[in-house]
Amino acid sequence: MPEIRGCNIPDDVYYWPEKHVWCRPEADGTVTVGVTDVAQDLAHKIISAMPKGEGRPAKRGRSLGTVESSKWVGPVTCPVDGRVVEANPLMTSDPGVINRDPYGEGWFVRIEPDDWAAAAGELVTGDEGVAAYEAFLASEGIECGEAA
Amino acid sequence: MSSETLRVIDFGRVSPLRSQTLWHAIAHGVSPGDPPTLSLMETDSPYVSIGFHRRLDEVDREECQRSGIPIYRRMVGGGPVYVDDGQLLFQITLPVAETSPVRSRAVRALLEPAVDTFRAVGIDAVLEDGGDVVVGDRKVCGHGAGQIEQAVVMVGNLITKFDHHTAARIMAVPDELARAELEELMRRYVVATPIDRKTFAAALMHSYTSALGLEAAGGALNDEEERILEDLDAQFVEDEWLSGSTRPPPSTWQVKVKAGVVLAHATSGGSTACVGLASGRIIRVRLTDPALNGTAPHWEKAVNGLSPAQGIEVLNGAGLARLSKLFEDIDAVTST
Repeated sequence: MPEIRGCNIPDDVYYWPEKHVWCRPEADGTVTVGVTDVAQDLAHKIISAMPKGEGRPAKRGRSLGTVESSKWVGPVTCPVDGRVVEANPLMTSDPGVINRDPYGEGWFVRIEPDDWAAAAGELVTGDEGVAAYEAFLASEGIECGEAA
Repeated sequence: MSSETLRVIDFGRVSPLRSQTLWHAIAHGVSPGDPPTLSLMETDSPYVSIGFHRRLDEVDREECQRSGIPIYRRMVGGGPVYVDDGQLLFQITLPVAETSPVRSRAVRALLEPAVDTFRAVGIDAVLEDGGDVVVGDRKVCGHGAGQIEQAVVMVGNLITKFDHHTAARIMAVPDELARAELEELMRRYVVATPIDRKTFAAALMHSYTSALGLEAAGGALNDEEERILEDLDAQFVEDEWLSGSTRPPPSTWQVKVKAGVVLAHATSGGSTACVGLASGRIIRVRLTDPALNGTAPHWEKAVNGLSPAQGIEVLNGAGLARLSKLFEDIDAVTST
């Protein structure tokens, strides 16, 4: 997994770097969404997470739910239009999983996208995606490990 | 900072509902490039404010209803808090792009002017690593923060007098012993600073204008914020909004009094342990067990000052397996 400025940035997911969210198209047509290693690092220890529930509309740029760390509540920004088909049950029972495994068990929601092809065009992935994320981190002066 | 001014709005005394919805309306109305806003207000009667992610059953709703104390859910973090007219509430709200993306750094940057304010009026306050504003080891200013739409908001309060008894009374507790212990811990670790309101408000404005490099400018809500305010007034009294979080309760009942200070309560088979912890050490403990003819003052003394893990060793060594099992639950609280 590529490590950029101390952050894990895998090249096999799609990113919206400015919002620190990733998504991955699944074989069943749904899209799994989560926050990046950068986001969990910036937040530090996540003590609570509240994703939107099944059936709720998902609108690109709007909140898909919230996470709390150190009395801070912040949104998880939706990267793709569609409908939430599943919220990760671990978000309520073990929100710290976001810190431990942001691209794996710490996924946030699964979305049935309205038009994945169109949505993917607004995201970045692969080597180009990693480079774009790196450029954004550099422009913001963000490095992982600073918040601890 | 895109703007050259800090909009300052002092709303004065307002209703409990408005003491929450006014600043939420400001946050919802923020667009990139807008000037930051420093807002202040006091509630004209008591209420309870509960953090966005917190379970409503952390509050004793029956007691609140009996006492005519409404409960409102805010959109920023932290636990349930009792608010009355002995507190001056203040908020700094600014576009998200104007703050550090490192959340701990953003909160610190927005809290430090509040600490400077206390110091400017003669209170020797500091910002603890845990994030609380303290004098010595006592909290003098609560806070919460978050991103609401395009805004970052940090809320805090000047506590000119604090009703510890009612603050403990509005909390849902496993038994009255826990309530009494909670009140004692609050008295020990939360302290009022009786500063003149006008003096503090002026110093607060000076601190934030200096920290942000801006000129203060008096202001009022604009038409858009007024419209949002009406919507929020309706939203905040809806049962669905108040119900909020469905996160499961923790396995061991616990309340955080300030950063690093927790009251935890465990029970099993007629035995109870109600333990106050500060920085991982037992500072108050009440044990009851049927086999010890009710209370267990000797063992309370034996474990005082220890970590819960050391307490387990002591109780196990004394053959008090039931109580040591309770301490395993208490230890889990300090480990999370």
